[in-house]
Amino acid sequence: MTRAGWYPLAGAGDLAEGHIVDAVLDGRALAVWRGADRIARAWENRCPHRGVRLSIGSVVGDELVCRYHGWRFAGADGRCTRVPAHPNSAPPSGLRIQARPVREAAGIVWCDSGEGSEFVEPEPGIVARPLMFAMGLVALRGAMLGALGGSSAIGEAWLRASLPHEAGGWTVTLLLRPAGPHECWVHGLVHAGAPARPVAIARAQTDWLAGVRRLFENSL
Amino acid sequence: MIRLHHYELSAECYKVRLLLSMLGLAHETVQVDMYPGAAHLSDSYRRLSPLGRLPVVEDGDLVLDDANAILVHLAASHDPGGTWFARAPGQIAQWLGYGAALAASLGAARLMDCFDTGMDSAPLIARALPILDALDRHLWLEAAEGHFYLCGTGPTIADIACFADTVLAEEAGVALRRYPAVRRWHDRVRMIPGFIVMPGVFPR
Ligand code: FES
Repeated sequence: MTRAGWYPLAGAGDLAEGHIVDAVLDGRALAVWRGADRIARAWENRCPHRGVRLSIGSVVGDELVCRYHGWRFAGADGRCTRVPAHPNSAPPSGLRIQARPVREAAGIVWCDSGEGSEFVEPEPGIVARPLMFAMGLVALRGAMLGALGGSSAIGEAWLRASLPHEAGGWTVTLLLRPAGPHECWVHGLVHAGAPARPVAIARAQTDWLAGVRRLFENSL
Repeated sequence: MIRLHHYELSAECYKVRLLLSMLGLAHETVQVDMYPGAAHLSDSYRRLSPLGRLPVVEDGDLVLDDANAILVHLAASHDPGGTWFARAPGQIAQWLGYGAALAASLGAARLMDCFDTGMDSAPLIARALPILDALDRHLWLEAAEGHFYLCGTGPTIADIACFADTVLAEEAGVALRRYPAVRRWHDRVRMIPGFIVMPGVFPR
């Protein structure tokens, strides 16, 4: 268990309307989705009917539809609104999907792994591609602080580092999301001002970070 | 009339069924009982494909037994708009190669597991993961520029060549959540008019 707090789940731009991201935060499987109302939500990734992953379902308007038997759940409160096999009876009123607290800031969809944690907004930047590392958060954070020259910690889950000179030399904030004991995701913000082609900077960042990942994989 | 020889659970055959449907091409189909019947190894089938490969497409006098070759042929000869291949042949051919590499790794691992061969699919999976990561990287960077397909703003046979094995990745034991940009692109492919499913693939 990592300390409760706000962790990134996905880039806000990567969570398109009607899409469901399958993400894990601190051992908790989440279906992260955006309905027609544009609101990002993170639900427990488990249908209350038979336990199927909601992330393989589909979004219709502001509702999420389970792939298995088509039960529908309202974005607003997670309650079941329709059971296709029993169209004429009221849906079970006690069923309600657990929603996690979500907010969007700095181009990222965040989730509170606890309740009522304080949200600290990072310095804005170009949103980078999230990358999975096969290490726990504490080990990864330590390895990064050791391997990345000039890097420094910001709290327990963020780091400040710099891309190498050949890759542009930009400063980045790396935002770590613990997924499991041997899985941690690295989201990032590249502080490069307002360049003409932000994608070129995001590319340099992801290729640099993939190199860091190869370095760690080879030394495991 | 185009004639397709195929097997329902083969991802290679699904690629061709997808393109035939998306192009809206009339065709007849012949089911080949690959498992458990091993009909693809029969003498009569080997007259079409000496190696016993699936799928086979017969189009007039032409007989092709390779999914990529069939995709190229159908797009080059039966797509009046010329949007599925001719737009960027070099780029598309590259992704056809990735698709073939995915079929030989991820796809082969899936068949091992599905047909209960008792073989160890781990070495195949180890080969598939870097390909999936390269695909995820490309798709993420393209999407950041507003391009939601492998080669630009519209679908091509490159998408079909890489879709079939990746959308079935979980049947080979690979968690797709590791590749969020690939998952998002799957949604896009499902929205292409004429999209059809096969067992294990969900509709939109
Ligand atoms: S498991 Fe979700 S509707 Fe049945």
